[in-house]
Amino acid sequence: MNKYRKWVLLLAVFALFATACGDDDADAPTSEETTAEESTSEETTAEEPSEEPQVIEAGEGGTLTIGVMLPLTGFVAGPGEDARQGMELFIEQFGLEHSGITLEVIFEDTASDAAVALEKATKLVEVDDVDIIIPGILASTGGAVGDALGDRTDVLLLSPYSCNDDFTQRAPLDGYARPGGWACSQTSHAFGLWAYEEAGYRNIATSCADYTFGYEHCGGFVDSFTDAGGTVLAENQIWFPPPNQDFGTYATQMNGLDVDAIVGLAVGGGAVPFVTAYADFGVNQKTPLLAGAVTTDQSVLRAMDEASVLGTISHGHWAEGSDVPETQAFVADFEEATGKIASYYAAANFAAMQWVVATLEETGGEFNPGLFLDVMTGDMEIATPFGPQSLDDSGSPILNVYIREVVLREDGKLWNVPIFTYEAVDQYFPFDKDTYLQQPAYTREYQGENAG
Amino acid sequence: MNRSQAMTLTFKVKAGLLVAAVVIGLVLPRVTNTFILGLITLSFVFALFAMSIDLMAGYAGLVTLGHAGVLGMAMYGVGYIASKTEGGVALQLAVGFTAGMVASAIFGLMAMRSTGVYFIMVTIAQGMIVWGLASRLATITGAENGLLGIRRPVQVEGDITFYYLAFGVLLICSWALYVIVNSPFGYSLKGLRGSEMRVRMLGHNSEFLKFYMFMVSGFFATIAGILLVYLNEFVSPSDVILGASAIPVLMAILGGIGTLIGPVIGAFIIVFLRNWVSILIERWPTIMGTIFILNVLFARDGLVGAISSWWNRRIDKPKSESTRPVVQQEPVKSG
Repeated sequence: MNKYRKWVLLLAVFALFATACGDDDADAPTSEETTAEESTSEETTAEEPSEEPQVIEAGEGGTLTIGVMLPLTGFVAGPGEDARQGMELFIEQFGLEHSGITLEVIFEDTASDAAVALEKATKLVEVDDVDIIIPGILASTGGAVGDALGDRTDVLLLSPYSCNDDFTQRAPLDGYARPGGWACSQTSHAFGLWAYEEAGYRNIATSCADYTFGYEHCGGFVDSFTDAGGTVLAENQIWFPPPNQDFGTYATQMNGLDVDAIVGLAVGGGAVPFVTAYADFGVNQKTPLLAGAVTTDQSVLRAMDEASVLGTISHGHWAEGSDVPETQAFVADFEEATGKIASYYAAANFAAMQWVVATLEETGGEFNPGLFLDVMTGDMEIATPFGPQSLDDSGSPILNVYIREVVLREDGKLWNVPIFTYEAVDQYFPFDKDTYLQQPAYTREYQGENAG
Repeated sequence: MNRSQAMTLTFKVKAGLLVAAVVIGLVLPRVTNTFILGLITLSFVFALFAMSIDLMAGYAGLVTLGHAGVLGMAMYGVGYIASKTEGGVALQLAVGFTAGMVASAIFGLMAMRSTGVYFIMVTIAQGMIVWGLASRLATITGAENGLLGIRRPVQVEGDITFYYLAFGVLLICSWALYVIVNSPFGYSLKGLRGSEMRVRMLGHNSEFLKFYMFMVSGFFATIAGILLVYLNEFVSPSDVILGASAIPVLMAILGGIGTLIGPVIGAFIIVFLRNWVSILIERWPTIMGTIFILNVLFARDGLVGAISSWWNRRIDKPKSESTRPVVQQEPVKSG
């Protein structure tokens, strides 16, 4: 027993010793930290983070470092890979020297996990001293990184993927913009209007993924559709968990509905089984599917069966079959480089880089985060693969929304071709900005003033 | 070399390693950068969480796959007060602690009658309930957006200060767990692992024993949750998914299940693989998978088990028939 007593004593002594240090630290955090940081800064300068933003004067030259966080492993690794290839295509085509500035791009894997993303963001900011961060694809990683870095003035957050409405609406983040991106409810606002005015639907049901993106993406549709005069009954809104793979029960529920059309939003790995079940259970024989922006995105369309998806109507700010010259050029180049038709994920990173380079040209090679954001949200307009884009004063894009149909390309591959276009759509369209901001954010319970 | 000499030598080596670890832990912030320091702090927190799971999985032989539910309840408790109300640190801690302990109590009541594979199923369900609530109750949890705007208390705001806090908490909790696993309660938990029937025959109420186990383990998981939410300053449903419960179990298995140091080593390996090796090598999950396969093939008792059995063979060659790893918690009958 003697041995154990000694162990306990030893542990207790060390525990006390360590906590005593901690306490001292807590009492005088500033002095303790200053000394520690001073001692580290002697070892290597990269380890001493500077809260001061890097400022590059016009014509001075220098290096602008961009940290690109992408889910290269984990459950959204597929889109992550597309996104990286989009970025690589830009670098291959246009190089890294622009307006006298050398761009440096550092990729980091978020492992599709917000906690890992936070650690990687710390690494990018503290060790690599990056000037710009692209904070991942998922809403959760984008939100976590946005919150952690939101109060830092030395890093600019550019988010072409995560689209949480409130980050540019009711709770705007500082130092944040979405060049090449979108707001989650933005494209579906236009889709709702199209369904009422152009397609003539009057009574619609929804079947959407049960999480924030689903609430905002479907809420946008329901709000504008019901505002125009259409009907979406609360009992006709079906919600399924986002990791769902088996849609049999939901397809049966949808089969029992007496409506003009059904809005469906399944994401990632759920998209293919959703669309397949919709056809296999014969729902499409009775009620047409109006798909969400990512449900028939090219990243999942590649894996879909022609018989179940051909002719499906969807919407989005990306349409790979568009005849916009920039889209055609990007799709052709991307296909040549990778053998795949470009998805929205590939185009978004490409567009984000176009924004960075064009803004550098506009400032004449001058960089500081505040100036960069001001110039971006000024009167710039860029011809991106998505079509022409500009940013509103909150940093959210004004873009084209395409109502798309899945058709067969000449070579037998499936792709989305626009059948109707809403041009220059902002995040509040078709509502008045002030009235819209009075509403709460879309949730499962709140899908617009006239819903339910 | 006889047994007592060997024991003394083993003790000296262990004590030496512990002193070395503590000294390294104390000087580390002065020689490393913020990113690595953050990873070590994260490892400390996961080490504590993995130890809390090891108390159940390793000592009592009851594997839980829902313990992130307890961790997550504590995180959401702190996060809700910090993010959605004006509550101060004391209220944040109180609500976080209460949420974690209430979750432990409910989980304990739900699972105390089950055993074996049914126990695993009940705990999976518990974890999934918390995940479901976290994803659904958007007004409280922020759903997928998570809870934003959580900030560390000013006293432990700096990364270095927070590192020392996590280190100190880990040492104290390790000591407390050491006392617990060597107490009569700890031995009765080991009894559960051996034969629940026999524990009952000896007059123990095995169901209450499991309930207490949930409360004790939940206490440490709650502390880990509070540290984690302040470390990340963020909480989202990805903190309570099934994987978040399974990874700490893997940490314990990799390091050495049924030992206290094993989960700590496992936590360091996995945290550094996910966050640091992934910077160097894109296919880091392959490396992690390989490590787990090697673990199963060559070190079934984890790294600690493998090292200690190698050590025992080395110092105690004539008695090499004792191949079972001598873990520090093995009962000593006299002394």
